[in-house]
Amino acid sequence: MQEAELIVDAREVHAWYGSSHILHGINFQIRRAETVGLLGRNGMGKSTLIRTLLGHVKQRDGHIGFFGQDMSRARPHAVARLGVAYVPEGRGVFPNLTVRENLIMAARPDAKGQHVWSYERIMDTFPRLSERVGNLGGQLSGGEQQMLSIGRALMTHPELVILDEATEGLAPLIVEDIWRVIGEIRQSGLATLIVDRNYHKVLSHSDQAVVMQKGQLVLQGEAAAVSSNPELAGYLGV
Amino acid sequence: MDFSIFLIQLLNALQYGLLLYLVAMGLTLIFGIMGIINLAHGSFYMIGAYMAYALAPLAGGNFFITLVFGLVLAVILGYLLEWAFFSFLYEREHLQQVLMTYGLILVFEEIRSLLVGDDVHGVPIPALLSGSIPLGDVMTYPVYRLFVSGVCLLLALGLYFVFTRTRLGMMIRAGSVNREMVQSLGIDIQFLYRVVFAAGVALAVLAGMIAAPISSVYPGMGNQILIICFVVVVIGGIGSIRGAFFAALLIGLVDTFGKVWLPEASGVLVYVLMALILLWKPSGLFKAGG
Repeated sequence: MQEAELIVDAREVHAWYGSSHILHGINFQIRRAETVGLLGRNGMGKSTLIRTLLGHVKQRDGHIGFFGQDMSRARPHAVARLGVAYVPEGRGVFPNLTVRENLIMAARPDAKGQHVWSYERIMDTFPRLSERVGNLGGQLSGGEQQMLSIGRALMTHPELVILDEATEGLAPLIVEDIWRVIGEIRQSGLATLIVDRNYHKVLSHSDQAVVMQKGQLVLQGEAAAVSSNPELAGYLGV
Repeated sequence: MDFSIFLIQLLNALQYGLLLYLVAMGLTLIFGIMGIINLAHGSFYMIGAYMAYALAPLAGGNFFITLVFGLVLAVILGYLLEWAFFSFLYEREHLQQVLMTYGLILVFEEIRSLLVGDDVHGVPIPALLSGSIPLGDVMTYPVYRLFVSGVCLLLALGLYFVFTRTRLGMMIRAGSVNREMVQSLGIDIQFLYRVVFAAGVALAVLAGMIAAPISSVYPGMGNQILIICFVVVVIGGIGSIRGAFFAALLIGLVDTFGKVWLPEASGVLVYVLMALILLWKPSGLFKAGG
């Protein structure tokens, strides 16, 4: 496997919040155009792992590579600029900016200078948003905010989209819509890292899966293999 | 009150309000948007006024060259201050912010005292703007005050445009609610805030410089304006640049006409106004980020 094929290359990653040691030596990779499902019960360190990779957790140790570059000590904006987009838990919509402003604020073209995910394409992908372009982010429903957060991520033309609990607290119909969009993102050739409570959905949308327990990866492999592993249910508490 | 006197008072009120807006706008950026209680903001105004006095000989006595000099120095000062002091304060408690920025007031006043002394100085009105225009039959109004109002108004419009219509403005507003998300979108918020802080300092310094020919230059002038600027920011709604604009004009009007009509109460009117507005709208006239 060539280095350049690796989007994320984490080796022996540790992280701390104050004096609590949260991540205990994480090793994992994401390859180009690959979808990785990240599973585990609440409080097992999934969001911390994501925030550590992205540079938001300052107390960290180990090697973190993105696109073959050493980003172990990099600041978050530098990681994002390499082509990593983050749809955080809680959506991170700016409540005081309009829908349009949320989208265009940080938009940037892809490596070839093209706007493949143009404002118009986002509007086509999320018709509900197009009815609300002038509304403030804070006035949207949860589902609309989620679409906005995903649309905003796509407008930065990432190679990797990280979706943390993208369907949390949404109505079933909206959840279906979000999964449809995740499928579209996957098909367009972007790599994705998905965290979601519904592990069936995650596994059926993923190529690879990793399972976390107490800050460590306890299962790792092809999604189908992880899915049929008898230990999975125990790790997920189901 | 006859009409031309009323008109003069109205122009004075607008000029004062607009100047106040310039200083308060810087405070809105630093306090309202970046979240730092910056007691040293008045010192930037004082520094500006003293620069208008002290830099003038270097600029050959030309007021406009002095302005340019001063603005360049202000941006450098702001950038360095953010790097050396303020960048450590974002995540800190209010008490620590107050202590450090109060300390900066003392440092700035001491440096001012060492460099230019404690005397009151006058700054001459530039010859080009030293005339007056007639108002009515007997009254006149100084051109320089109109110039001050004009500069402030242009800057207010420019800032409003940047803030509401440009991506830079969107990033600044977004950063005021969620710094982490702004970074996650690939924006270097550390650098962005350093620039915004420098702009806030430059606004206060500019206000001090153009106010100097009207108000003269004296020790402690920064503290006076600091308090009234906090009143402006609180009345307008913390973090709202539109709010700061209307609040500054309102205070300009109340203060100026208060001195004419209710001279006994003029010192307290502004604070009564603040109390009334906060009773009616506890978070100020406008929402943050608007």
